[in-house]
Amino acid sequence: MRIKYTVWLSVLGAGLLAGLYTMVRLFLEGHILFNANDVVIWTLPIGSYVFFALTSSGLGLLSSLGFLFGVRTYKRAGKRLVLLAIAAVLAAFVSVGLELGSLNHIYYIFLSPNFGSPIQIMGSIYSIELVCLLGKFWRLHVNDAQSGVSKLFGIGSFVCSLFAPLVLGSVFGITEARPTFFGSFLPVLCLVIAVVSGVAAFMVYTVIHSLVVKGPYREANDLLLEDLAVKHTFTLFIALLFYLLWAILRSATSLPDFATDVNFALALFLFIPFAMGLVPAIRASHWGKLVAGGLTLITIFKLHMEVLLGGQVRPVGPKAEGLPAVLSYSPSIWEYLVLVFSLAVLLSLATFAEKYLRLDAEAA
Amino acid sequence: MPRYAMVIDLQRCVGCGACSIACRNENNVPEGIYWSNKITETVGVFPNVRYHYIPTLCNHCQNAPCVRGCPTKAMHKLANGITMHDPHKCIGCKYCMFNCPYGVIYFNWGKPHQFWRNKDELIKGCTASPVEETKAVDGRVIPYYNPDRAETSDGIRPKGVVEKCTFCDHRVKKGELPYCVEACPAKARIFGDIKDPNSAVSKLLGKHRPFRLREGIGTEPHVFYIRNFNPAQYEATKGAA
Repeated sequence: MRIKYTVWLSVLGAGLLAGLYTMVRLFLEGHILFNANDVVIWTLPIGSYVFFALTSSGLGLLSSLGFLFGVRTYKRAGKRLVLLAIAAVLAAFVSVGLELGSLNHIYYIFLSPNFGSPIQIMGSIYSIELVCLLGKFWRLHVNDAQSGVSKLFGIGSFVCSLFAPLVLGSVFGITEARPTFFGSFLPVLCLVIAVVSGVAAFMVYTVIHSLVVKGPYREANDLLLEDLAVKHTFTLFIALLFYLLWAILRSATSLPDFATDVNFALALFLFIPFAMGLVPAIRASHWGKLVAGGLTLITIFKLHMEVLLGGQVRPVGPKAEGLPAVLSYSPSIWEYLVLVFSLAVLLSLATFAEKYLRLDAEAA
Repeated sequence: MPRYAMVIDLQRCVGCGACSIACRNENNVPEGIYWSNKITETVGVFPNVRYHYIPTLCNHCQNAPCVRGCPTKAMHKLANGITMHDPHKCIGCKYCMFNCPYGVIYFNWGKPHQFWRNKDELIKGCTASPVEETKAVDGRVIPYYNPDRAETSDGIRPKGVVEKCTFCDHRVKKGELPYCVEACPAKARIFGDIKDPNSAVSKLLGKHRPFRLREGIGTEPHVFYIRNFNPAQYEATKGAA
């Protein structure tokens, strides 16, 4: 067990070091290291940001079930949920931070804010969400979920987790220049996907945790996992419905090319975990939950990338000169390393919190 | 306060590209970035083909999506209608590029003017290296560096920020024309105050039926196109069923 833990820490350490090295290289050489260009502007790091940010919102909403609404099953899991939400939002910040071209100007976000910009609003909401999550974690750590301060953090976190995905969707949804994104449907889709990602991520995490750490809460964990599996199947169905509706509407109204095989293949990959969840025996088993949750997370990541690139691969205006009608994109090693860095930050925080912060403790 | 606009007369434009070259020189534009550019289209099937050439630049939109979306107000409007960019406030989020319906904003992915940082001789033992050439003319990074550009913004924009056409705001401020207008040998670009009914742009817009790029999305571009170059003759006919 000790050897496995050391290996795990070494893997995390390697991920963090690789990430820090990437950061230095990006700072010195610029984003020429990415396989992005003036047509395909936002690439894997933004896909990674969207994935972690939405997952964090989903985890935040899930944590509110116990903290704010008193649902018994989620009360004991509250601290772990909040911690994972914090880790996910920090992972998102790592991804988006390394995507920004000029980090040394970042203070202008506060000195010269444009409150009409969805990016500004999104950044503010996620920052407030992080503060509320930290506050919530602090209250849980001192075993208080009932005081006025705790409620304030709880409500703040809930409201932020609800609105952040909508605003993140609006960043894309208000770009009238890009018909693939434009419209009010994308923010709603982001909210639905946030909930699915949060549920799937927590289900996968809880299964792995109960397999690795055979603690005294087995029974309570089984109850929680049973509930998560049902929620996962149900929310996945809603997400599948929304995604199909969005892809069909988009394809029918603006870009016929958008209805590609890949898009419908993604729907199929969302359908498989949904179908798995409909079979009681699979839903009840640990491996069933692990495979269904894992498949959901991977498909959702791919879906984010597909949607992100779908609106960018067609050059606009004079940028189309000398280029094919549709561009292709595959990430560079540095873009993969940004993703690795974010994941390493998330998992490192979770690993150390599990060891030192008594995540199984239930607040009164 | 004037509201500047540009009219491009497509009948006069010969597609020589002098506007783009002048722009590069005036604004120290690095390779891979085009403040002044063009859209070319070939329509039809040989031998019945036609070639369209539309010069492009920042449209200095009234309702500029790049300005609306910029989180730090790095992209902003001047009182005279020019859409200006402050590289010091730019965080390199690239949302303006994402939002621009015209594809006229570019990002400095790496250090600009890389070629002029090269220490290798172009022909070994025969010519100087680009770096030596730059040093010889006491230029900053590039030998043809224009210091005038630095009067209102960075002379050369650093890596990690976007850049685009500014209607040569540094020249306009001094009562001069944008350099692409100045350099056009065919007088195809006409610049002026659209609020002044006696300005050349107002007169042209009153006389001709202008069009603007992607007008339907409501950005109100302030680059107008008039007329068209078409010398083709054809015999009058009613076609056939």
